Amino acid sequence: MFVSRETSERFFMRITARPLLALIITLIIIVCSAAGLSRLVKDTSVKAFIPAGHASLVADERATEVFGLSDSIAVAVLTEEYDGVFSPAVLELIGELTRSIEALSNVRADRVASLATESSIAGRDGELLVDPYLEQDRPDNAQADGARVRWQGMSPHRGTLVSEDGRGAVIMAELIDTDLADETYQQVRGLAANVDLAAVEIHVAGPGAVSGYLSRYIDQDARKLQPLVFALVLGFIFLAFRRLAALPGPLVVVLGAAGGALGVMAWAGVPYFAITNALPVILVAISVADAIHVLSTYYQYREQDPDADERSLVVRAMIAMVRPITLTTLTTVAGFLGIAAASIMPPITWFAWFAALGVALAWVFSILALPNVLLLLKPGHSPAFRSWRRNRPSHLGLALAHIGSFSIRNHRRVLVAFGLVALVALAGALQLRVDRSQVDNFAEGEPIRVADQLLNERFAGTAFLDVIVETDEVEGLLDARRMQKIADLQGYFERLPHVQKTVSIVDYLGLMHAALNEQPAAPGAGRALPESDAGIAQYLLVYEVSGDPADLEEEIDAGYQAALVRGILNSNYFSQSREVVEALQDYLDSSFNEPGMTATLAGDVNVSYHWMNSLQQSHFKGVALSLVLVLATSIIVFGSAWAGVVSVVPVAFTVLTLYAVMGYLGIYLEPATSMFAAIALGVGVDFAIHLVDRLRVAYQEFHGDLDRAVEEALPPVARACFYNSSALGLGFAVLMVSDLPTLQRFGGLVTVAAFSSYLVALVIVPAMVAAGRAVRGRQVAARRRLHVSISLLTLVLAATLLLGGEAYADPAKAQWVAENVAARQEGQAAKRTIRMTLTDRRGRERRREALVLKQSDDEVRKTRITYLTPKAVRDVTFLSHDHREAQGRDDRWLYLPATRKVRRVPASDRGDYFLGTDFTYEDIQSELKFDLDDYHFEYRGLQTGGGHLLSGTPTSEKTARQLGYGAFDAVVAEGSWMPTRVEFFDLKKKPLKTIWVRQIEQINGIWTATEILARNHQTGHQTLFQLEDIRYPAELAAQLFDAQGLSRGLPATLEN
Amino acid sequence: MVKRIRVLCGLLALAIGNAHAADSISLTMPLGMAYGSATDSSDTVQGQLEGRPRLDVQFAPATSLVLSGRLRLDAEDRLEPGELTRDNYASLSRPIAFGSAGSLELRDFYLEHRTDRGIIRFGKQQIVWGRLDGLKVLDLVNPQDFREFILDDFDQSRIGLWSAYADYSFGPWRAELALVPDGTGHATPESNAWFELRAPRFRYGAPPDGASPPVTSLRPGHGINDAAAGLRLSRQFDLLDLSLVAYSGLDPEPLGRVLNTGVLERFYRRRDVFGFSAETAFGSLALRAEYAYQPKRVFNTRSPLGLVLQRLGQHRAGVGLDWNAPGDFFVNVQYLVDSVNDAPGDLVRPAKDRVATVFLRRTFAYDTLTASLRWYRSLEDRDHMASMTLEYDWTEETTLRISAETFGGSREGLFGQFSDRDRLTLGVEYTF
Repeated sequence: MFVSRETSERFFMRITARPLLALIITLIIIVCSAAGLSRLVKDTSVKAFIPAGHASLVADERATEVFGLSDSIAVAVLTEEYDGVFSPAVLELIGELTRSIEALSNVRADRVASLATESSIAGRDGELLVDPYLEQDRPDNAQADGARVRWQGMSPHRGTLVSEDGRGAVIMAELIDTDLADETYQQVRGLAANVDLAAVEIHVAGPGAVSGYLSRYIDQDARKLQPLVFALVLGFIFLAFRRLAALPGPLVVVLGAAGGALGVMAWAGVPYFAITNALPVILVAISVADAIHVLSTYYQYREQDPDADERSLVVRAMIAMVRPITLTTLTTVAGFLGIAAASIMPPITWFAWFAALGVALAWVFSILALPNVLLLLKPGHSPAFRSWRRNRPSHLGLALAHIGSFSIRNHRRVLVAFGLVALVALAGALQLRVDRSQVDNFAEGEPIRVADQLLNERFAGTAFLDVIVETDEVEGLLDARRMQKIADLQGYFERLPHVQKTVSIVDYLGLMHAALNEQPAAPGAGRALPESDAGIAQYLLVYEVSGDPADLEEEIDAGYQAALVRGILNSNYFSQSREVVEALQDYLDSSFNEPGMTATLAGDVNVSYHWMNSLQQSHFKGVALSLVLVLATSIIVFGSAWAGVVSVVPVAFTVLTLYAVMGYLGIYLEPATSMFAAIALGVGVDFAIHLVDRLRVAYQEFHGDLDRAVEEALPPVARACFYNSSALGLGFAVLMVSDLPTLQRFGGLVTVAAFSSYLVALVIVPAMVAAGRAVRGRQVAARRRLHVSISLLTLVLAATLLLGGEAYADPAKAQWVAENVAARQEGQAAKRTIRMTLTDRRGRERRREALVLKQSDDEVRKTRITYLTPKAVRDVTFLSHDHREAQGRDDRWLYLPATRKVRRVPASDRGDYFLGTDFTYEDIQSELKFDLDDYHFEYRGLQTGGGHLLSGTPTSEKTARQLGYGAFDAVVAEGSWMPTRVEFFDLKKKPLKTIWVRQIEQINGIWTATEILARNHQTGHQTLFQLEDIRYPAELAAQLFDAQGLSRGLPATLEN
Repeated sequence: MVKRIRVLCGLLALAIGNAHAADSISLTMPLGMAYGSATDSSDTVQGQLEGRPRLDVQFAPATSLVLSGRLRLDAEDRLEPGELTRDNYASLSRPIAFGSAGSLELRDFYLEHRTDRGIIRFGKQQIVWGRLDGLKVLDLVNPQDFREFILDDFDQSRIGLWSAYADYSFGPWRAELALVPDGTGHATPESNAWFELRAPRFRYGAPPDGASPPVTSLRPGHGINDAAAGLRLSRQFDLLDLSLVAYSGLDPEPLGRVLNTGVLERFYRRRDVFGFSAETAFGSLALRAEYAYQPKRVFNTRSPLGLVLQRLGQHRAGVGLDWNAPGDFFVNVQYLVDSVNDAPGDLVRPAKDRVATVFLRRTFAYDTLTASLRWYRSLEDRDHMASMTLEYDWTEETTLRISAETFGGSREGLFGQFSDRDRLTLGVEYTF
């Protein structure tokens, strides 16, 4: 037994002593936790899947910041008329639509691009003509023809503003708030619907529209169908017990588990992501399973002992079921923790955490609330269990038990057959591909999907891959060589598959060059550039004078320091854009980036690439880890390795089946479908555990007679599991009638998971038991094993909680992460202003402001810190020369204006605190890097919410004393290789302080922490560093780092 | 006087008027109050209000004007009893005295121009070439005000001089040139001042408790004869910062002669100084040293006829060690040797001086609380001085301070002369 029967009985007698009170308390708990649902925040964006601070997201934000790019809605105006869109009527329509869209509240009026807002570039007699395509609201034929001719010479607008065949035009409108994208999409569709022009079709799509509409679309359909699913599940429970009084119990458990988990999620401020839709489903499945097993036992006992009082029946049923329910809870929780640990995508990680919480809550409510509901309702006899009055199982139970008996008798054949099926499934699973296209979530024929297809076919495309080119100085792009490099980049970019078009400032410069030199403005001829830097500057000046300077704000910033190259792809599929992203990144690394000019990928395609890549890397690892954890937990709780294997095979088989179904049906693995593995896991493991557990108990009861054990034990549990799987399978099958492909897939796969896991468990568990005699485990020292199992599981939980990631050490990976952190660029020279806010434990603040200058070469890293405020310490300057090779031979000087002397100061221990802050000298000088010679590193996996977990312990006691740290645990963001959180421990390994990098930016291609907080846990003191005015010049004047010159103060040009 | 103030105001107005932006003007003004009490008698020693305004005006990107002054008002008038005597000052450097109530002193007033390789400054300023703390070996350009003996920070007690100063780097070398047409000498407290220098060495050999004769001074001036010139060459080697110094100017320590009238006349003579200083650091230690040789320095000797002048060579050397000691202590230890070559027995100052100093400092609560202990011992006179200070940065602008000093030894000794001058001081300073 799990715990002694007497203990269980005492426990449940106490639980059921005050049923009404217990139920009221339960309901209060449910209401309180579910009350958090009102605070639920939705985040259905793609970007939610990327850990905060990830390089791709930061690059995207940078693109928004510098070039003002935001999600857009695209309106395609298509016509098959002879003149195409260059007919007066169509042009007039485009003008009207443009103005109407500009007037929408969520549209950035200055960022609407169409033939009505854009201009062409042409030259005449050495003069640059920048003319709007539409100069009048109602153009005549001549003006329409003129617009066509000018458009033909404008390569950046060919395929983007107007399709190459001239029969389609696009109005692109950037959105102010992407959360309101759906509303704007509906408004634009309303505008389109009002168009009454023969032979013109209007379609609305675009990234903003797709993501905005999708979240509402899924939400609407899910809201519509999920209650139906829920009702069907309850219907099956009714069918199983044929008593209305059987329903409230499961209902309370389901509400408690789902409401509690979601409520806690909301209270914790974790957003409701798109995939969170699957969470209630899993919790319904698992909660219902617990309740069905308890109810089945209760009704069975009621029939077997009709004179027993209600309370003793309930208590007996609970005593019988507490063990299997607990076992299934433990294994399922372990499975979800595996998924949480392996995933680096916050939505999936949170999903798994709250699924584990929900499973645990289902257990709590099944134990605490369900018996009291039964006591209060006194459900009476169930006709479905009448046969038990004669101590005989139901016909259904018997029939199902026959399957089990058959398996035992023919266990070899059964196992071989399953082996063959597994091979077939494996073949299907191998066809599974990781892919994604947002628009595939819409039904065939859905207007937005049609529009997207049309835009991809007729125009350059709807998928954007951007390259941000940044130089380290203002006007750094007024450089003919650099511009030519960008032109070469575009040339390479356009040769990549699916890339239909690239547009950058170079195209406009090329057009101006052609126009001013009166060369033919033919497509492709546009990238001949002026050869001198002055020519570039003059062209841009001429454009500013001739046209609207804002025309180029998406291509180049006002300081001519950063430019955007936008690549347009006609495919949204990860499998296709992946090749482009990887090839382009290689090109940038190998052929483009140079000192003073760097390029970074950005845009939706890049973001999608990174999160799909992450999914590919983490999904299979997560499932494998889950299965291992389920196996380990099963082995521990059953005290038998074979019993553990028997328990996990049905789950593994179910997961394999799902992959096979997906592979054969062409359903690709994406974040939404990756959740099916979790569902299969949650559902599949329960059936197997119930069966194994019952068989084990019965085997012992009947002294090793396996046939008898199957005959006696299998019917009730097989019946309960049958209704459980049917309720789920058929309930969720309803979703297959949804219009939404996502929900169709969801319903279909849950159905497959429910039935296959049950059937596999029913057939394979007895066969494996017979083959391996797993059930012959001894009962000796069961209590000890219980303790061991709980301890081990707690350890697993604790490790997962503490590490938030994979609990394994990988020295090579640790070194890899540490080396990447150490190799992070910090610029040869840097200038920044640090605002320091020092706060003591009583909340008193002191503020400082200092100018920090750095210069590094291979031999020495020089740092100069000069205080600017407060007045009392103004001009106090600290200078250090840290010699890379001669460790410990660092030179430091301090200039105190009060003494008017530059003083060489001892190179303090690196662990000494820097001028009253919570940062040590080492923290300051190392730029949040960990010296490879100082630490032994350990890799601790991926953390919840993203980032590598890296730990370090000093290589020697001496180093530890120098550093003042006994160890550290850090979270390192991949891509930027910036530690986002570092927890330091003192020499006694007690928590010392935590440094959080709260904000990072990429400046001139260098990842830079712009806000850092350090909090000392032992003193309560904290220091906030806010870095401003950050620049990375090629070099700084050497005199600035000359100790002898410190007393001269700062050059005025640097101070300002 | 009025003319000087007018000229000053005119220059200032011109500079501010030319300041090219509002943020080019920076004004700070620490305002402090200090209350000192004699620990032996509980007498109040000082009740002082001190303001030290400083104005920085930058009127071109590389050119600025700096003005700083000091206003002292002391209700007790024990540190400088009566009207401030200013005989040691050259005419343009003299502070303005407000009777016995206090004084206003112009501490810095210079125009500074910075170039890529150095700076040039013209005006009243401090030029600091020494490396040791509180011991003057090569810190020889500016004289010192001994109003509070050596207890005040040297920066506060150093007297600014009108001078031209150029600081220029060429390659690894740095050259500093000072031309100082200002013969101002050390300011020593007058009779009955709390820190009146009564040791025989400061009284031309007279015993400490003897009556002070009437004194008159030949005031130094601004002419060529009283002007000083100095050159300092520095270079930073791999582990060592080295400087060479050559200087010629008026000796800030006055010589004395007894006039026929019985009046003691103080006057100044030139001196030449050659020296070097070096500084290095290794591990948690920093080591610094200074050496100065003054050939043919003029000293007073006593004879039955009165005070006589004699030219003798003088060596002065000091070494110092900084140590970041365990327990977050900062320790500074210094040793100074000063000897006169072939010193005759009737030299009014000791033929040899040896002084050891120890300074301990520890900060607490993130550098907001600083405790320090300073201990000086004359190894020749076998006397000592100790001062303790506790300083608390209450807010960013406000500092509270409590300090105490105690002296011990013979009344004829360097520190023992103040053996009845133990003092406890409470102070607060607010920086505007």
